[in-house]
Amino acid sequence: MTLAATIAQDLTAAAFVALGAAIAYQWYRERGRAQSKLALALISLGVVAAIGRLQGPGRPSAVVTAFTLVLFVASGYFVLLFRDELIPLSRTARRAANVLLVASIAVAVLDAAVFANGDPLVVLALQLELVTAWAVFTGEPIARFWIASAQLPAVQKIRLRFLSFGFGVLILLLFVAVLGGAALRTPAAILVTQLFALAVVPAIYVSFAPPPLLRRIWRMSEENAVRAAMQDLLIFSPSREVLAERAAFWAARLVGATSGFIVDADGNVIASSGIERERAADLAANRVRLQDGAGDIVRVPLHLSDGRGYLAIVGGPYTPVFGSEEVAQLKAYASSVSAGLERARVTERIAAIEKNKSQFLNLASHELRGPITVLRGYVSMLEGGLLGQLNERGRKAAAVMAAKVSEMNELIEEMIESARLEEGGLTVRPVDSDLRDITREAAEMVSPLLDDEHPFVLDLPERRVWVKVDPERTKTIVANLLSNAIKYSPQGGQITCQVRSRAGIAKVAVTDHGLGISREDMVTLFTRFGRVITPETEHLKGTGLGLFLGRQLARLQGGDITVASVPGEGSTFTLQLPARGALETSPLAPPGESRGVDEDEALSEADAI
Amino acid sequence: MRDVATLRLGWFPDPSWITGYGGLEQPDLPFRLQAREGPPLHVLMIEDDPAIAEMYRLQLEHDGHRVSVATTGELGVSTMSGSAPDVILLDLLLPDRSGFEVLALLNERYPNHPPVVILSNYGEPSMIDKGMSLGAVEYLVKSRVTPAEISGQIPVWVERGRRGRKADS
Repeated sequence: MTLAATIAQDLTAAAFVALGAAIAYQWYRERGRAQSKLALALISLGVVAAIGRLQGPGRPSAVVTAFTLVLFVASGYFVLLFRDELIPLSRTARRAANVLLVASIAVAVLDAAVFANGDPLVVLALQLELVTAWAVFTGEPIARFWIASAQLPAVQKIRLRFLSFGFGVLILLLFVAVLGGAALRTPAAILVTQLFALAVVPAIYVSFAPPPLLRRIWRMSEENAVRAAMQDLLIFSPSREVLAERAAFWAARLVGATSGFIVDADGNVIASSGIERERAADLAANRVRLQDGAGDIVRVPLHLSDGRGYLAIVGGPYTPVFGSEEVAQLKAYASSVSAGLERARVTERIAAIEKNKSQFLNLASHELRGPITVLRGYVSMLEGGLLGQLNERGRKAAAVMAAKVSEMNELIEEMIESARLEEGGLTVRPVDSDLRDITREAAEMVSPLLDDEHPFVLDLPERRVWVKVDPERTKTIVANLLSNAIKYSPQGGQITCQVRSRAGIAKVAVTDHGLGISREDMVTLFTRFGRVITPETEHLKGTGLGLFLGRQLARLQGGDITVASVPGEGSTFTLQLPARGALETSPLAPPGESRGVDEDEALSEADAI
Repeated sequence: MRDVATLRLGWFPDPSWITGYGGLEQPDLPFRLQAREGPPLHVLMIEDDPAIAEMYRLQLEHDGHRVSVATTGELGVSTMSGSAPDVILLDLLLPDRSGFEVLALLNERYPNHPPVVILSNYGEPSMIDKGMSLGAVEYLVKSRVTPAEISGQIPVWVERGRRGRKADS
């Protein structure tokens, strides 16, 4: 048992010496990094352990004892200095710590002098002072670290907690050793305390220099959040700047750094996280260098369309060494960042172009309304004979002018409407309406266009078809579909307009036997100014806005316009609108009628398109 | 009677130009070219575009109305201190102030002012709402109506204003 205790003591001392050596080596490799104070603390502890064990049971030299005790006090003080770098101490606290340090060094020297043959009580008191001073130097920082780590990225957090844990156990062991007295001199007690002390060594080591594998494992807790952030980059984009800021934040978080920033191809800092924009700009321009004690900077290139920018990650005092693992992660992340930023740029540019276009359309349209008013007014007065009687040729000319001015006017109205639509300023004012009435009125509107070659069949159900829509706009949609049907069947052919309601959807289907639309042309059909130009249609007039507006208006009202067509045989355009629910009773609907809207469907299923 | 504005078909293509031969027929407007009876009505037009003012004057005077034109909002309001018109046609874009301001000023200074019809090149729903909430009896987009249509509506608006005032008192 005694042998075991001795071996345990030797083992612990050896472990602390090894810890000090390993840390000295790590520190040497990463010179200039932040953890110098912590390294000094741990190396000091290792030296203390080595001397303590090597002195052996014989009568120790007072000088060596004094040196060991001072080094022990210093190791605690170094931990406090390390804390000061991470979380600066107040001036008072620093002064108090210095006083405690000087006092403790004096005590250490005194202790060494009286250790061999002094009053045991005095020795105990002196030792208690030393241990207390050490506990104060290390205890305050580790408590602070534990609290502060809650806000930090996973890797930093776990590292700080390991450090706190390690030093916490050491404080406990020291008090137990000093106060335990004879009770702790038994081999069993020694064995237990040594085992505890031994457990501290790996905790402190991984806290100081966590191996890549551990870093990866610790990061896993954040993987999901990082992955979500990555997805955000690719899908969601408020604006390029906000996107870049989020990217910088998550890039820093990803590798446990404190801050990050993004520089575009021109060298401008477009976003920063955890660091002020000006300071990031200074760092980017190499105007300043990081202060001693701060971590290093890793730059990962971003391939942007206008050149090469980069994502910079600034390590904090307790950021782990950036290894190949972190750099690989950052590179993978950087490609997402590049893609996200590019997408945001394109989206923003498109939005700007769209806005310009809308504003131009809007302005141009309003400016055109003035002259049109005068032209239209005078032409109507000419036609009406108010400006004197015209002869036959004059009347014909006036009629042509009136038609052309009308044409221009309608074009302007369409342009205003579509500009308004783009701006979101277009509103519909829905009221309960019978879709049959709307369709009937629309058919009346286009009746002047019909001729013998275009027989027209209006197929309405017997019961009302209740929809909640803007009647004027809906009428315009249907009238537009009807006029298109006539216009695009120049060879004639029957035009059918059928109204049905089924399963909560009210439909107006307009069928012609005209030119039809090829599959390729369907794509452009509903786009703004997207007219289908073929040899058969090029002589037909139109702005290409009708179907675009029609569909947009239908969608504004919760519906849509769909098309089915066979080139050379004809087309069917169907306006769909949400039918008012059968259970919803409308004040306009006579009792018993509002629920019957679907019943006609049984009759018409056979000839449904 | 339906509002004049809704008689135009919005952005729907005018049948006349699709067929290419239309337009010979006059649109069937119930109030058009009717012989008007009763005393001549006095129309105050607050309008800064001389081309438009002159055109409307031609039609209105032809139809037997009396027309005064004010080219700024200030002039329009000051005209009110003399012989009050029967109806006011108000443009929105004036050199000195907006038509809305003119209307608000009229409401303030002459609570019993004659009916005001806004004639503008702007047709945004928000502007129409604003005009109507300020008490205009009608809001028309100029390019959608002909002088004859406006002239025909004058007695209707005067009557509407008269009834409105009666309801107020």
